[in-house]
Amino acid sequence: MSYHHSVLQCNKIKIMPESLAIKISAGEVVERPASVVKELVENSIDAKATDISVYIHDGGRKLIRVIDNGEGMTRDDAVVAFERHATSKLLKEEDLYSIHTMGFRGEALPSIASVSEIVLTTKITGEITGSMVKVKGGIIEEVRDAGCADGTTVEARDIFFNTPARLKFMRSVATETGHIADTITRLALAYPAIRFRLFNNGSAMLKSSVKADLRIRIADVFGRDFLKDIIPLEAGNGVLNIHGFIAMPETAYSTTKGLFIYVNNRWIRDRGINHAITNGYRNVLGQGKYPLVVLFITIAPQNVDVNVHPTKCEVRFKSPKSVYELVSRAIEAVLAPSHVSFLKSYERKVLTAEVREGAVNYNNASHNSSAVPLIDEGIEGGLQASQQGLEETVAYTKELFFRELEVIGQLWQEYLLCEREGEFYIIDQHAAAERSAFEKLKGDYYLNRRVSSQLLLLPQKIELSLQEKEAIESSMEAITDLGFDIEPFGGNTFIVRAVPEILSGIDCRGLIKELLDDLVSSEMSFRIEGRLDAILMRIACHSVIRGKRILSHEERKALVIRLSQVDFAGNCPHGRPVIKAISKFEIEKMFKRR
Amino acid sequence: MKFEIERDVFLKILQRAQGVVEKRNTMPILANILITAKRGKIEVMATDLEVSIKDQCDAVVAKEGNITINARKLFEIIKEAPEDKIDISAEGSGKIIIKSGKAKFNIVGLPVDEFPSFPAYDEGELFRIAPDVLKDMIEKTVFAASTDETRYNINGVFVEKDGANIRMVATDGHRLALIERSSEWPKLDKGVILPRKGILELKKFLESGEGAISLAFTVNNMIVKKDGTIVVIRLIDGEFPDYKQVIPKGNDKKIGLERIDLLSSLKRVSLLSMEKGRGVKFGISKGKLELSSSNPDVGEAREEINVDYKNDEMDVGFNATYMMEALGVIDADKVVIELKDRESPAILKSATAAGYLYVVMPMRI
Ligand SMILES: Nc1ncnc2c1ncn2[C@@H]1O[C@H](COP(=O)(O)OP(=O)(O)OP(=O)(O)O)[C@@H](O)[C@H]1O
Ligand SMILES: [Mg+2]
Repeated sequence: MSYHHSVLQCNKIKIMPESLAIKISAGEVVERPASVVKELVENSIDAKATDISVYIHDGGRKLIRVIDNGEGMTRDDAVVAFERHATSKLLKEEDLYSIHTMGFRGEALPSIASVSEIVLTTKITGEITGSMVKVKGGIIEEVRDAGCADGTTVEARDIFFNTPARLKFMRSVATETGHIADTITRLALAYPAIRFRLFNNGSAMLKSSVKADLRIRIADVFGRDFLKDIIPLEAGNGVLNIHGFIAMPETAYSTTKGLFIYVNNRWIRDRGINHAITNGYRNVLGQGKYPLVVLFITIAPQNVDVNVHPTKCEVRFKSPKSVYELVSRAIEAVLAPSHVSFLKSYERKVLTAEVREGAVNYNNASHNSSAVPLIDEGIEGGLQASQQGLEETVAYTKELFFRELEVIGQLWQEYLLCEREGEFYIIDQHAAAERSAFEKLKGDYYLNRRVSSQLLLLPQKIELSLQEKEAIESSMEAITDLGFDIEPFGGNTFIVRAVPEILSGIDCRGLIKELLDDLVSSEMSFRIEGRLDAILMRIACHSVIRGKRILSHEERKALVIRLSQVDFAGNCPHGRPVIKAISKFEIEKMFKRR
Repeated sequence: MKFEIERDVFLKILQRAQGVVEKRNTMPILANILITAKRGKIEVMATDLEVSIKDQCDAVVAKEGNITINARKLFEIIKEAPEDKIDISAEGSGKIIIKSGKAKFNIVGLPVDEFPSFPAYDEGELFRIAPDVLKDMIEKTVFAASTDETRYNINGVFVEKDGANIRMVATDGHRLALIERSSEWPKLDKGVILPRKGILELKKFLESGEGAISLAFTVNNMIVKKDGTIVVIRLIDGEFPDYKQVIPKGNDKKIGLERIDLLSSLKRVSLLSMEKGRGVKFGISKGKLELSSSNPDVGEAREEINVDYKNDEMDVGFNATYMMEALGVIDADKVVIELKDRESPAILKSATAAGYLYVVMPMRI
């Protein structure tokens, strides 16, 4: 084989020394067709492409073709690229601690080439001819001139053709297609400025707009409807920053599929951050529910290790705790009342633009001014300060908001209809009652470290299973703090002598069993800390009369006023919304007046 | 069926029936009323299976027969009818025509045989009672009855006869109200439980003007008759708790005080609490009672009243609503609270008159 050097461009790829190569996390790069797509598209991104198209056939098993308009490669590079540890992105060991590109191992192309048949065509901008390299099962079969557009096209066919065992593990076409679509979605969110297109068996599956920003990109991939339910998020101290969008809790899933977490623009999986997110949502989202969150963590490369896993989907933070705190607190702050959808329009009128701006961007401002504080302390101080400022203004507006809300009627004995200044509000009376009960319990608990309870004139008997019995015996103290007084009465019978005051007049035996079952199934000793919200939510839920109910005028007004005491994000403890607004504009649109 | 009736007469009957008609719509037929036209009268019946009402009035019956029709719709039509005379007729197909002057409405009824039959009773058993006494007894007890539907046996007021006395008791498991009066009363072999809803219907009945009221009890029902109207209330089939056992004896810490003082003080102090029914602390010492409540958001409220108390200092928590509800119905200027300790039931009663007793369990605040 012979080929000439490019005259116009220098080669960029080098083979890294052995000493460096062994530092790279080794392992399987290509797990499934979607991994091929990911590696190829990341290469295109690293090549500064602004337009990337992906074609797949049969879930990527037959064909994956990625076309970019990036910088391209010289013929030399196009050949060397298939060598192991050949990369233009990592030259010396220090680079490993300051990775700014998606790739850095020089592993992807050789790995893909070893399990498929690859044709790579590439041309550097300005060159007249490009090059074509054909590799099959890791062996270069052909290198020649090719007429092609600027940029690079990589075509991988018959993945795993030479590894029947792997082929057997491939899932259905639909599943593999789904994985590929997920991969593109993740990348598309991280690079809104790049146009992405995905074609499945010839038809377009995903098309994103050109030169979008994150908001528009979210609309591109999730649909325009999402836009009205997402809230921007921004926090950090310059050393560690986060930004992105989080959805109102109504958009919740039972899996983590709505969590898009990026570290330095790289999509990753991280249980710790997942937990930080759900923790930030804990007051507005039920357990086992996950919101939609697109979260970008920007951190100095030296404070995070991406060289952890061969697929580069995991990272290790130097200080995971500070990341956790920042994410969790920022989300909680954003979900705090000022950002509640129904309050938004009101606030706009009452608070000056300045105050709003200040509240949202406070974190940045405060930290940019101080000379790079230590991460841990910095985040703490900054967020607390900003939250406080926010709460004061909000308490004032919220109180006013609910006082001014005029109840104009009740619908289906389940909803309150309210009016105020050109907006129409619907309150779910059950959710509202539940929410205010929750707040009351919480306030009570924080005041006294226990829930006030009502002693029973007619104590109630309760029969427990053996497991429940053990559970209750080992957690009497916690049960008492929750406002219950339960005494053994011989055998499996117990006597309930007191119940949380909020449950006055309600049979608590079902609730007690639920709480105990919780305990039995979690095999934990019953501690309130950390689970207080969940437990109080459960109690709140039981305290509220279910179903339809006609409310008197006074009851309606009282319920609405009670909401002003609630520190909430428009959601009841189960993650259901409490109040929704319909603007005059929307109604007028309905009737074609606009 | 065909009859002509005066609008206002009809309206009054329909309004009463409305109150009984099942509102939850568990069975469509229960949203209807049954109208029977017979011998110059019409009879209107409504039921939710717990309370049934039968009313009658004069009408010009052209053709006898009966229909069932949606109670609310009919009521609204009659209310808006343009003329004083209403003409109602029905065909076999179930189509009902309502006419008043130039206005005409067509409504489709439900089959008459789906309507539950009116509970049987013996007219001869009906016994005239003093409505004021009954009304008073209800008012002083029913508020303490449980609203928790799962505890059906305390979802009403227990009524029993004890010699010449008649006794009513209600409890929700936290407090208990008991009243005893000597009064004329129909035959009642053992205590019965009247459901809340029935009691409230009965109260409305007692409040609606003059007129003699007669009562009777059957195994399952209480029958109330006033003029041409009969209300049948199904008794709760259950065992009322042994109330005598929970009435404390030997509560030696007695606080004598002005009813109004305590009531208005409680109102003010509990104002601060987040919602009604929050706990209020009673700090008792020689000669004075300090009421206090705190709310994590708003702060603390404190008020002192002069009382008659000579015992040791103590403090105890109570649900302000429970206290206020009872203070609201006791007709005496001076009341007594009898306590034992902060975990045992307390008694609230008139300082002068016997016959009314309110037992309330403290709160741990
Ligand atoms: N689409 C492309 N456009 C331009 N250059 C490319 C393209 N794809 C690959 N290259 C070049 O080929 C080299 C090898 O690519 P490969 O994906 O194997 O390794 P890498 O991207 O450096 O690291 P990693 O294994 O982590 O992906 C890259 O460093 C890059 O210089
Ligand atoms: Mg790469």
